[in-house]
Amino acid sequence: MAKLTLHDLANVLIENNDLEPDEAEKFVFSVFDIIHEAINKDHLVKVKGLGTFKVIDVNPRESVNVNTGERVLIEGHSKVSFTPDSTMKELINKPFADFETIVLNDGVNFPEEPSETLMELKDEPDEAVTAEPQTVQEIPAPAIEEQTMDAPVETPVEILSEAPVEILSETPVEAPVEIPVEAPVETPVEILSEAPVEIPVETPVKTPLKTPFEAVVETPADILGEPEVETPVEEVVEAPAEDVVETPVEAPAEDVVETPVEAPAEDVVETPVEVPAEDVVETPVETPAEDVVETPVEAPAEDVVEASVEAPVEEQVAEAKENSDETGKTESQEIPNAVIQNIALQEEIPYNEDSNEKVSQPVASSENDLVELVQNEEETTPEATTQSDSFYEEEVYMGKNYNPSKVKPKKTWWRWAIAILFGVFIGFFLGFYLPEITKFIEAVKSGNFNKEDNYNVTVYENADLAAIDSIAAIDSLAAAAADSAARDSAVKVVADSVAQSLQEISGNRKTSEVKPSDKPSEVKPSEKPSDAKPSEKPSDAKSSVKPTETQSSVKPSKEKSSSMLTYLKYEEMDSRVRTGAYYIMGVAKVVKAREGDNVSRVSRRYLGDGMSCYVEVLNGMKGSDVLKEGQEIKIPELVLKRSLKKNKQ
Amino acid sequence: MNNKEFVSELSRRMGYKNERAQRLLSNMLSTMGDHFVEGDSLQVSNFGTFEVKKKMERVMVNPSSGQRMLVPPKLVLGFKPHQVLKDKVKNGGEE
Repeated sequence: MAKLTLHDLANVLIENNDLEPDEAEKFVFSVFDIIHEAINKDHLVKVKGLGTFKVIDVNPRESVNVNTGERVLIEGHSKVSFTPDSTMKELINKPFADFETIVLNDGVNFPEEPSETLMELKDEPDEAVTAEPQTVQEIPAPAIEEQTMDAPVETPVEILSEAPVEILSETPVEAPVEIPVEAPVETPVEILSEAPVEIPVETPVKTPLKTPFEAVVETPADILGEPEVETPVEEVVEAPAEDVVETPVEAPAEDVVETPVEAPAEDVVETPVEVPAEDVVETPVETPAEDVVETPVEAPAEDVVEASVEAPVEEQVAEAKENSDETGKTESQEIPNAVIQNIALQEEIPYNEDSNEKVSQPVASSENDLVELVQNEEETTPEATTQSDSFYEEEVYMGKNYNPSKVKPKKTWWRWAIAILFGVFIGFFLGFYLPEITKFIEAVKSGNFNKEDNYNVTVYENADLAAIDSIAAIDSLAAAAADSAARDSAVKVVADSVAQSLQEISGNRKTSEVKPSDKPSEVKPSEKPSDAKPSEKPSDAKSSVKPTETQSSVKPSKEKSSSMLTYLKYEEMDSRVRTGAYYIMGVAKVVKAREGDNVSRVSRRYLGDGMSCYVEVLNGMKGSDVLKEGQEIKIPELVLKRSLKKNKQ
Repeated sequence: MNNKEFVSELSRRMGYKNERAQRLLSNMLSTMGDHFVEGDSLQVSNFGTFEVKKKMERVMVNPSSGQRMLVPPKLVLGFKPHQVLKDKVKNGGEE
């Protein structure tokens, strides 16, 4: 940390360059003098290998005198900045050159992002809902007839109140009434039916719809709260109807038109309505929404028709409301599986549809023919209408309480939760029972075949492998395998006493089965295992096999197991064999070791590279075991596992 | 003033050829670098002080992406101008 001076630099220069001391010192000084002068003159000096000196301007700024607390204005001035040259920078930073900037994974960010999106989604649906009401209002305005409008108005209002809950406006009440009368009927109905099914739509209508929608929603909601009240509705309709209708309708219509569609109020209204409806419907409800929508639509239509008729209008409207409520209820009932919230959403949707339908119906009535159509619709949907009143109220309340958007997310959330729970249960049961099953199998095996551990092992494996096989196929295959195994073993092993014992046991199959088991036994110690098997398993190999089958329900594999016992046993002895491509089906031949041979070398000679594990297992030796000259080594007969499995199937 | 001008000015003052001035300059700077690496500081009278400073590691946030990065520690060569130089520059240079 010594301080270096120019004299030290000069001394270094003198040593390295044979300079005169004076000259060197002059050189060093001149270097910095030039830099100094250049800074003052050019405001910028670049020296390769050192860096850049630059004069930069500092803006005036306020500061505080620490001692007095006074505010002080520091005037703008210039100062020297130095940026080291890249070569110099790297040279100096060498000790830390290995460090690199690391991007930090921030777990905190993830939860926040999803929540934001959810909020957005919630907001969007609400907006869409509001948009629909607006459109409805617009439509009625042009055609509007006060009387007809009364009935329709009520329904739309309800709808609005439900969906938009948030939006409240005082004046709107009148306007909404007007709205329903004309245009709304046609377009809204369509929208409703379509909308519920798709639901998802969101933003398109948002801003424009909001203002009109809000006004409508508030007043209607109140009215709706008392759906049955015919008189109040009428009064409201009458008084505000003309005046209110004109103003509100116009305003909303314009707004709606601008954002969603294009020029004409009616046409425009229709299109916008459809869009929002679709959006809303998609996210919240699915199948239920569609069903509900259809029925409610019809009922409202009827009501509307009545209203259009005139005198009954109010009553009809009330009915329509009731119907809509019913439909909403029915929808809600259907949906209930998911969640109450979901239901609420669905209800909201239906209301909207109903209101739309109502509107359309009145319009029709104005056209004469429309009334009939409405009646037809009523006939189709009578069920819904009957149910209505109580439901309607409930729906309205629900709509107020819950925002559709909120409900929608919950539905999906519930579905996911249910799916996850289901998966957890399955996993739990599997984990719980697997051990027991295996234990049971083991118990059976041990009970039947205590003496032969190998056999038990094979049985297990067979059970697993054979699960798919049919009994008959297995039997035939097993027989074939047993025969082949028997031949091999017989020819080769016959010399051993094992073969004799097997023959004594008799039965071709029996012998074949026994033989494989014998082979392993031979490999290890002596004949005992083979003897034990026959004795235990009464006379027939099949009988012995059966117990295992019953246990694991894998009967087919039983016979196979006898022939497979051998290779399964070998597999159990060495994981390399278990994971290898071949089964050891017997002893192909017995060879004598040459001088200096070991097991792996012998296996390579007869079977090729990478096959030593089979020889090792068959002979119970390690690959590195050195063999004496003339020592007999058994070379296994190998069968491709794949081919064997094909045969089984 | 860029490096070329600097070297030519230096050679003019010293009466050297440019190559010789350049060679001596690079030689001088390399010795300076060696000392800096060892943590030495260079004090030039009436000009300033060159000193190696250690910047500690820090967490940096990318303002546009919000990505947080851990910036490793590093050694930086700093220059602290002498009061004389400061004053001269502050007053607009020349003088």
